[in-house]
Amino acid sequence: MVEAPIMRIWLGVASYLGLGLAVLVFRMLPLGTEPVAIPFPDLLISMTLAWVARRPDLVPFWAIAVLFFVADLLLMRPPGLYTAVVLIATDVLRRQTDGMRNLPFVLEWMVIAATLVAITVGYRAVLFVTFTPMAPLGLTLLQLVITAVFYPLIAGALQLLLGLRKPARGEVDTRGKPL
Amino acid sequence: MARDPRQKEDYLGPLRRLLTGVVLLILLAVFVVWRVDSPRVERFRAAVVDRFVPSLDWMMVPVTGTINLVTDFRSYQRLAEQNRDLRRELQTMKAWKEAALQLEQENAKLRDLNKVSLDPKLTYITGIVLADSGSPFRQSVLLNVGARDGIVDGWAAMDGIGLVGRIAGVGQETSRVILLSDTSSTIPITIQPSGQLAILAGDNTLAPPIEFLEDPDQVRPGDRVVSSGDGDVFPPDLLVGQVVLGSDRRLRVRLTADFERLEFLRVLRNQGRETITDTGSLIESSQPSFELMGPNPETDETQANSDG
Repeated sequence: MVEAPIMRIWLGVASYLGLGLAVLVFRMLPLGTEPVAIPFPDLLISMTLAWVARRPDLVPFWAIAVLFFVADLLLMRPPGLYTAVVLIATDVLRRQTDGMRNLPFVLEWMVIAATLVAITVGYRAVLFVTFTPMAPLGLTLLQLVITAVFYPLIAGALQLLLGLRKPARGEVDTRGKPL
Repeated sequence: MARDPRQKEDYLGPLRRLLTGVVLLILLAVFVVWRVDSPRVERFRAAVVDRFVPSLDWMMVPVTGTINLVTDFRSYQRLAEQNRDLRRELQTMKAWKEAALQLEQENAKLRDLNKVSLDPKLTYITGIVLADSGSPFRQSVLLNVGARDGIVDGWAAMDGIGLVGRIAGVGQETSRVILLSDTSSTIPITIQPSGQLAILAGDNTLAPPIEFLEDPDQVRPGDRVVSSGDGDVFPPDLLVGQVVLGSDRRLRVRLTADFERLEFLRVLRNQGRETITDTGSLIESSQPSFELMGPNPETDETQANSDG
């Protein structure tokens, strides 16, 4: 009986990591090797934020750290920095989840958009301070906007496919612990 | 009531915060080390990619194949239209083929007269594209050839016709090619009829701008652009593309290589040119020395270098 909730948490973590890796691999497929004018939404970050906003207990700190560090290495980003910024942002978001429970979706969307902006600004600020070569600003902003606009779609897809939704007030897990 | 879950977490709270802090510090330390000593961390990155990407091949190849099949299918729908275009192109190509054949014969004759020997060192290794950069900000691809196959950082990569990029980052079984369109790619070029030297700097588009051009008046759209071989970055005379006038009135190069679908790339072996730096040592070592029975060229060279 004790195993059940732990199993469920591990299942949640495993599905987060598995989906994250799948997204990462899909992005690396050599389909189009020419530069694009309109970037695809950054699925990895919007997926992570949706998870943290809805079920923070299923995305432990270390899972985000591992996934984003691997992404940093594979996607030729400066290693470690983006991961650190995302970790700080998700930690702040995690503290807000109690207050976010009763928010309508539009407000959740606003909070996520603000988090995305904060991540981009923080990341680029550190790169600027350390004189690291950066991606063009226009393209970054465009991707930021596209990612924010597509958030409802991604959150909806996660809710449909994996049942990722905010726990209702008073809902308990199998051990009777309030969620 | 609302405080209930938080009180439960209190046992783990400080430990968690400590762990969070430690992980953050490690990540930032990695970033700082990368910023200070980038080659070492980049080597680590190449090793990770080397381990990670080939092991995912079983999954990536079928998915890529399927998606390509679907896009191909979509292009079948425009078959009639394409056929007409191709036929028209074929007509012009036939004319060119005739011209090329004549030129080739003439060239062979002239070569024979001149006793030209082509550089035998310019051979190549062909690799398959495993993955692309996965990010709209970086333009690079990963090849399935690496240090095992003798790939060295800095060699040129071409598709059948034109220059594609430069090897940057070699793992045991994989190597990364930074494409000419990447923002960190700058290569020295020559613009053909006028022979002007310039730099081609990638800017995330398919037509990178020409920079540091001495006299833009001598260059006009349609001129051929080849690598210049300056600074020993690339062997000279590899075809890069054609000069075009961008919509922002800047001179740009339309790349000849087909960047839309890079599948196989040739990596040119380039051993670097021998350079003559010191006339004294050349004369000295070419003359037989009678004092020593076996002249040691290494000591001769070091002496000559210390002189100059």
